[in-house]
Amino acid sequence: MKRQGSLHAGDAPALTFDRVWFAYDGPVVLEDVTLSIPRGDFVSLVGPNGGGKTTLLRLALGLIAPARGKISVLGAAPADARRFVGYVPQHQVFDPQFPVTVMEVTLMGRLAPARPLGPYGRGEKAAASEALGKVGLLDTRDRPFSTLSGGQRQRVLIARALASAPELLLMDEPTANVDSPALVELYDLLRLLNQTMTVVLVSHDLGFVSRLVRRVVCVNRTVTTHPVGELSGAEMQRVYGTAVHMVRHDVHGDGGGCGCTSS
Amino acid sequence: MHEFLTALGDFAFLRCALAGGLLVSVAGGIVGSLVVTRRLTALAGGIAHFILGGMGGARYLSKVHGIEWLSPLHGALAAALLAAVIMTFVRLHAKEREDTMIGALWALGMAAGVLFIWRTPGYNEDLMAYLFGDILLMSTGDLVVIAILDAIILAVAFVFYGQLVAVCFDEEFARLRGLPVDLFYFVFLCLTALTVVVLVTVVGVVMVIALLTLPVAAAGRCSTRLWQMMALSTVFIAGLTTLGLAVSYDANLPTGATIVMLAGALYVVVTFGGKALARVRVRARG
Repeated sequence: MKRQGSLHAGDAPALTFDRVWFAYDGPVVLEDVTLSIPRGDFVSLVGPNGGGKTTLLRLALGLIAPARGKISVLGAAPADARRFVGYVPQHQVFDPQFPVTVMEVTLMGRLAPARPLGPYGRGEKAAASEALGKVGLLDTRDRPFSTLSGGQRQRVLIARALASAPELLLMDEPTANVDSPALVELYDLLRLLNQTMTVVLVSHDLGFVSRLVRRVVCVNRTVTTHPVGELSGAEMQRVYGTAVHMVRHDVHGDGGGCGCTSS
Repeated sequence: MHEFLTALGDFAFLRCALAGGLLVSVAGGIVGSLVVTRRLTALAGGIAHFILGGMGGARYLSKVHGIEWLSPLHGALAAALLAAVIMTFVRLHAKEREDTMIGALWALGMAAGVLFIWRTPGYNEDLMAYLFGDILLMSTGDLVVIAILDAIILAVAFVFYGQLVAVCFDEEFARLRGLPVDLFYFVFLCLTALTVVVLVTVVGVVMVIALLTLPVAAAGRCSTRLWQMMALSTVFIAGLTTLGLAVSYDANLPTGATIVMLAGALYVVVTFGGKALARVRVRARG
């Protein structure tokens, strides 16, 4: 796949938040968030519902702007970096009756303001086919999107993000409504993708996350980063109410204690 | 049916009506597919009722203030485009709920139309034509207007097909890919407004939403791609207007209502017939 230019900031981190505050017309959703995700990292945002995980993702995509602080994506402003960011939304938000094929969904990833007008060209179709091949769904290319299983739809949406050859992949709850065999396939796929790009995902599924990612970013109004390890996280247990043995507090990190439960 | 075919040879107004029905099917099929997949049926209904104010206003100005070149069609076009501008503005800038605004346009347009018509001397037959349509009043000038609109809509659908699919399927992703989503929305609303105006000449303000959604929803059940849905919707609408014209002529019924009843029948047959067929298939396999 051909890259469409570059941001010329190859050494900048994939994602940085510098003292970012955010609120939707009401209480503060994110408070003084500072965070840096280096290139090539594999990170999961975890935390309770309403804790600000999705808000953090939307800020990184430039869909909303912070009240205070600075966000930088691949060394640029979020809106300018979008071309190099692959976004994978939750698959169950789509209209099940929408008449669209797997190939057509994947081709959406090739859309850009600069592309020539008119139908998709051969190069665009080749890039979409290649992306579908990566997620193992090339043989379903002409099938209606609505006839696929949840796990397959999720992978088509990943292919759509891959079709633009992103440097950073942002995923919202990729494990939601996906059955366990499909989860294993997803696990292998994400590992493979992480070899060539930074992956940041939002997940509730700590079991899935702990086997996969290198670091966990705990989001609950404030943010703390933990490397994945063997030690139990007492704070995480309090948040989720179950025993969680996979996430270790990063005692050497800048957070100084887990922010998950700070009111 | 034979009676209708004979009459078709004799009367130019019937040929005009037939051509009008065929021409509106292109605009109706393409724009209707977008309206249905984007779930903006209520918005299209709001625009349809809002244009009654424009039609009534234009007729009032032409009869009472002697602006003779002004026709109800002009008023309808102006009102429809005004509604598109208002609804785009509401979506982008105002914090007002969209469905509340649709309801407001819907009712205020009707009220303005009724007041204008009340104040205009003459028969109230025109009001009936606006509300329930009269395809038999279609003139050659109308046909030219509809043909131009068809050409514009076909060109937009061809050139921006991929973008339209993306915006209808997942607007947020389209925005992230750098598409001018808000501009698309505005253009889409303008095309919807213009299509509603031409469909109103066939089935009237009250029933336009039926022609814009029922055949389209039926086509959607038989399609796996948006362009198939657009093409099939066009065929369905063309068939319905032609059949409706023939049946209403032979049986001496109002054409608009006949077309809408046929559209309803098509929708029921395709929706429930399709489900029954699927059940039979499952049973045959099991």
